[in-house]
Amino acid sequence: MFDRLVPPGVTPDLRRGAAASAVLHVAVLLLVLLGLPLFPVPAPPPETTVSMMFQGKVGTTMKAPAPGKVPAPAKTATPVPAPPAFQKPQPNPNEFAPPPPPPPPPPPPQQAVTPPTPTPPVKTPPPTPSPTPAPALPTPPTTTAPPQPKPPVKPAPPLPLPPVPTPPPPEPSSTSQPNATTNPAPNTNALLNTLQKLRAEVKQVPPTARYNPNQGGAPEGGGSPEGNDTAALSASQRAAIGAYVRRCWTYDPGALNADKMQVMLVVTTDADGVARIVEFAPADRARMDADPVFQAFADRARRAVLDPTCANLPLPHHMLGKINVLSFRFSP
Amino acid sequence: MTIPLAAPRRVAPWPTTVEETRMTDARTRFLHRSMFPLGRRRMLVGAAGSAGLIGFGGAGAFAQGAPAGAPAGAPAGGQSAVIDVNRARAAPIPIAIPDFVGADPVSATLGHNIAQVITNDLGNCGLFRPIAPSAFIQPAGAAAGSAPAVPAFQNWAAIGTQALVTGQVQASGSTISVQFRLWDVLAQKQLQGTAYTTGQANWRRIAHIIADVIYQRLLGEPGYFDTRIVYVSLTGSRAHQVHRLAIMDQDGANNRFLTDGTWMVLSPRFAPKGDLICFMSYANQRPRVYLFNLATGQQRILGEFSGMTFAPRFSPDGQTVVMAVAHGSGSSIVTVNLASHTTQQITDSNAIDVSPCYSPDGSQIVFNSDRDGTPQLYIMNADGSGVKRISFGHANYTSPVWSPRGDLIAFTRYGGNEANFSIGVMAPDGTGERAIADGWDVEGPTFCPNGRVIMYFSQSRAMGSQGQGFSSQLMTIDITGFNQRIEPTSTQASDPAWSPLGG
Repeated sequence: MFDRLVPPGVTPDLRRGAAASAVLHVAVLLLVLLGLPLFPVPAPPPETTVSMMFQGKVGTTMKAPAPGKVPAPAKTATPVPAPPAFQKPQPNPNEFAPPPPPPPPPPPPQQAVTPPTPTPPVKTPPPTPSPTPAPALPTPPTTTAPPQPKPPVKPAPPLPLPPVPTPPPPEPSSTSQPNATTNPAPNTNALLNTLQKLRAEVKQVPPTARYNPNQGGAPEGGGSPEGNDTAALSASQRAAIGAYVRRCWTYDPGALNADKMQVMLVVTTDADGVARIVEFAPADRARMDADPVFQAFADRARRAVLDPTCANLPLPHHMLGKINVLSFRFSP
Repeated sequence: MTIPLAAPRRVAPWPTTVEETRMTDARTRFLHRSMFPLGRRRMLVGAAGSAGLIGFGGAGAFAQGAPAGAPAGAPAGGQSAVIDVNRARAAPIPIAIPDFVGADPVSATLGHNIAQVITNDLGNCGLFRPIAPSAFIQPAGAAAGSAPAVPAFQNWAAIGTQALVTGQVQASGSTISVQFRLWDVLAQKQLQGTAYTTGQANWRRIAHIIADVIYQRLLGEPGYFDTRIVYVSLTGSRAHQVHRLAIMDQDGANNRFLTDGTWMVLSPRFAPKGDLICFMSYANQRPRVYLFNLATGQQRILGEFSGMTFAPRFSPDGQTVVMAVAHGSGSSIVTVNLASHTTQQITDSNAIDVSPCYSPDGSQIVFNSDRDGTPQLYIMNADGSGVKRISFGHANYTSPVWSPRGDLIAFTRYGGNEANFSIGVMAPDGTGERAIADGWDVEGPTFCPNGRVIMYFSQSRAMGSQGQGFSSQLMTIDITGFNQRIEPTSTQASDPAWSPLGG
């Protein structure tokens, strides 16, 4: 098979040289991929002293660094060695950026690392191979680091990664999905998921009914602004009711400023049209508290509409059989 | 500007519920007709016509006088629809006052008496209509029951009452404890509940106080039943009449005389605070103003003036007395400080300035002066500045008195084209003049503490040389011109003065 692939004119020496070259390249490639950790780590650059000034409370600086980004050493509470010059922000592990093509077969993860984030631990993607071979950097063992109340935890040399408080592992929840599933819903409530699914399944149909002005009604009315039924009465019907109650409406003409008073009442009638509940307008209630003469005036108005002689209001037939709320204005 | 009396004159009707009143009215009319067979009859016809109008439709007359509001039932100005109820009637509030409950006979008797006094107070003021006990469906004694019992409102609403008074009396030894509750029958709720404890001798005053509470709660203004009247009692024949200073409760009870009648007394006035009265006495044939201490009975002359002093009145703070001092052919108005005894003359004219009276706030004084030719009413500042005439009718205006609530000035008017005297009122600026009572001789108006009722005295003309037919009595009338009543006195009386509330 191999012979068929060799073009004519290629000597066996050339074939051996080409094979040796291929083997060498493969070896170098394997060496680059697998053999880097075996090399001794180069000496860290000389440490430089960085002076830092802290402002505010320590607690306010305990904010966890942005996920996927190596926090600047200046944000630590204690002086830490300056980051090496070659250290660059690593890709955000949450972004799961695909490795640049061609992706070599990823080696098995050597160890699970905990990203410096308060979110539940997510497996850190394998180190992205840089275009140029570079010595691999061991990560500090942070898998079991307990949450630190204060950030100034000195990182283990030689990697000057700042220690990050690691949140406790999530408690097993009855609503969480502990096992792998085709429809993962991490950290969500099962009931909410169900409701969302149900909502999604409900067919949202826009309303099709609309008002038809040809069928009458009061399309521009919208009801009484007071929320009562006085507007349903015609002027003559209101006049009839006013004349009916007037028989019981008395006042004291000698009271101070009696002729200038008027009071608004909200009267609730029963199904037979009999006044049952009488309330004063809010503004009049305030005045009643401040003016005893007006209070007496208003009380007489209430007694007039509650008087058995005048309480059976002459409501039109279409307003009988239900509770009505009517507005009255009493004046001398 | 001339503001005549209202024409046709609105004369308050004589009350038809008091038999004595009708008799007095008839006698007066008969005497007047005898004296003035023609001209006077014509005048009386006009007055009677007015009285008849008011008498048959008193409330309606006021209803017609009420400002015409919007058409009934019509929305005002196109605003939101409301049911207009206007043209109210002036009618008294129907009220039921059953006897207060007492566990023992003494308490029950006191409960009955207290209820009677309350009934009389409220009924006589004309603003309440007590329901006759015979109309009660619920027995009087069961109205109160135990203290927290709620009346059976339907039983009281059925007889047309709107307010109900229930109470209990507990007499123990020389003291009594009175509890009362005022109920709104139609709203079915309690409006007032108060308890009083006092000596048994003060049971009438407790009743008056309860009546004042009811009055204030249902009408909004303080009552005037817990007050007294000081007046001049007239006894003996017309030719040899004895004038004594007397004092009584506003309902005529507890009358007693303050002077023995040796010297003539006139124009007593109550101090706004304390038991102090000022009055004019002809003691030692020298008319001067005196102070009388009701607690001690002591008298003393107020100020030292060479001329006659008369027509005194207290200032609203009770620290000063303003009065008239005669000098030459006229008189001036002076003030006397009761503490320092200093005097200050606040008018200085050659006219007769008399009858000063402070406004309720003490900033102004209304008085009577003939500086323009005839007695008219004037207003000035308390220091005598800013004199301004407020009466311009073709008659004489005398004895002005300022209402305690400040909205009216009452006066006596006579002469001009009118044969009778009349009691009238006008606003302090001189507008709205109207007569509320008239008679052969009606004078000396005085306001009750809340300014709602005017008391005056009415005298009839003596017919013979011995003064036959002469009578003098105290009268009360509402400022609206209704509910004219005779104030009961043990003797003939004149010159009334109303005490402050609780005075």
